[in-house]
Amino acid sequence: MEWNAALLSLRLALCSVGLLAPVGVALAWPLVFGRFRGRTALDAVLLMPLVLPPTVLGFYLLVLFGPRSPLGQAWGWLAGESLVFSFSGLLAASVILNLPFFLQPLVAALGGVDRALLEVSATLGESRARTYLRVSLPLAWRGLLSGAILAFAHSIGEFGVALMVGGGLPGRTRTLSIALFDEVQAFDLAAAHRTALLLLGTAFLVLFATAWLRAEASP
Amino acid sequence: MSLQVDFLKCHPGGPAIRARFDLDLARFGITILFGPSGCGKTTVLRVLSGLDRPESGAIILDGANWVRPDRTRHVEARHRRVGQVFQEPALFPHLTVAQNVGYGLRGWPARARDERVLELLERVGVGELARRRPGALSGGQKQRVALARALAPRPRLLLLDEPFAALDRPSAEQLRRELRAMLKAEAMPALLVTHHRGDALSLGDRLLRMDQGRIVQDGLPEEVLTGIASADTLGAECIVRARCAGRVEGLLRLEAGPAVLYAADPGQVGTNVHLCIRSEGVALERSGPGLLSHRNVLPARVLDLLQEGPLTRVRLDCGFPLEALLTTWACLDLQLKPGDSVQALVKATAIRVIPIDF
Repeated sequence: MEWNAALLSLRLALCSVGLLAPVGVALAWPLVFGRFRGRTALDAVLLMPLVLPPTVLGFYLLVLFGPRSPLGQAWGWLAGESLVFSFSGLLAASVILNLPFFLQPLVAALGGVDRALLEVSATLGESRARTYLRVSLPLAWRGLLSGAILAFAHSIGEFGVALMVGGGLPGRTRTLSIALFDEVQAFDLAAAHRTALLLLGTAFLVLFATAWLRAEASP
Repeated sequence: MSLQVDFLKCHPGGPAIRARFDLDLARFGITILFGPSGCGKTTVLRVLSGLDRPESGAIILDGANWVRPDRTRHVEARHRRVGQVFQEPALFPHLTVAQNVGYGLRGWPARARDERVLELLERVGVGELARRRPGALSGGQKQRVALARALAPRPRLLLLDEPFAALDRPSAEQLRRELRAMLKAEAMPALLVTHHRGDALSLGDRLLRMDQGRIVQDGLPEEVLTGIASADTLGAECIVRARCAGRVEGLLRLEAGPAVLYAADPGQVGTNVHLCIRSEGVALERSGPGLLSHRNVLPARVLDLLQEGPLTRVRLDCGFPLEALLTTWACLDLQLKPGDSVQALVKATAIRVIPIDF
């Protein structure tokens, strides 16, 4: 089995969740409390990665991150490396791709927090932002955790976008599922079995954990 | 410090709420906002605390606008320093009792905060529960913690929205008896919403009566509530202040001016009480043979008679205003007319005694 690929996938998943947490927590606020123009459109855009074929998303991200795009050029100037076919590009793609997986349970949990508690907080002199941090988020911790777990599981096994944006370069962007694809291509079925079983076990554990969290939330 | 309130609030599909009154915030005092369910009492509280915006009007605290008539200014709830206790305690479930009470004291030095939290928990009678989570408390305990939490940051005004409504009866009774003392100890002016006459009479210094979205009366609780029919009576009630002067054969001896009445003891009665006398429990007779003083017989003068179909409402003066609800037949038999002297016989069971907590 490709330990390099396994470690890379693990690193990608952990970094994705690490970046998603602050981004998601900030984005969830307007989604729960915001009343603004274009809200429905924003909802739809944030859900798109759930239904788009990974190759389609991967293609657009490839264009967006490419060395000729303003973003690709800015990143090249800042970090001295290309955003495509690099770990940072892979990570950026993973964060975008996994945003809906992270946001959905979090937004649902935040929306379920009793409004009266938020009103009490206001009458006790707290701002909306502080109320969000002191009341909403602590009470929505199950949603936060299950979002993180889902995003982790999804990014550890990502294939389509990872291949399009990362290119599957061994040691740099070749994730576990790309390794599995390569192993099957090379007729190394024993290695493929081990890799597939590892991904299967991870997926089961993750789903078991989220189901358990949900059961705890509604006794 | 005074708060001038005059605003209009419309709910989509609901009645327009028009509220106009002044509140003195300089000293302790409980103002009752009284009225039937759905008349807009809660809306008035929500506009005062800043949780809802009125359509028009102004709310002015000592010359400074919280709400300006042209809607150019709306001071948010968090800047108003108006505490609120809702029907449901709404404690933060993830915080301990002490953390709940300290929630509004974020800017305070740690030591002052801890002292204030402890002081308030003792004051509302739940000092031993500081480390518990709200989930482990009874309804009455939760509401006490909610009260302490609202009082902690020393608001200018405390709003109480039917604070006993969600409690079981014994807890409600106990909190009702203690509430006034708690607020007085904090010198906290309060506006309390209720549709319960007992609350209004035992707790209020002043009463604003609301009906169909308007404030229709403003005065002393016993004055405003006299003559207003309540859900559990056929006719109106006459409400009068009295002094409890001892007990006779299990009944309370009550002195209302020159008149003396006897009524059943509801318990927990101090010196001062309100008497609510149901008009259907008052009978009249012409001055008759010598009656025993143990019965509630009051010499009275007929003020006027108001016929309501088969019933006639007779307004009387017996040192305090009283009403009798009689059949029109009985009035004809007695040949009653304004100015007549009669004897009013009041059934002891028609008198409800409400202790006043001050």
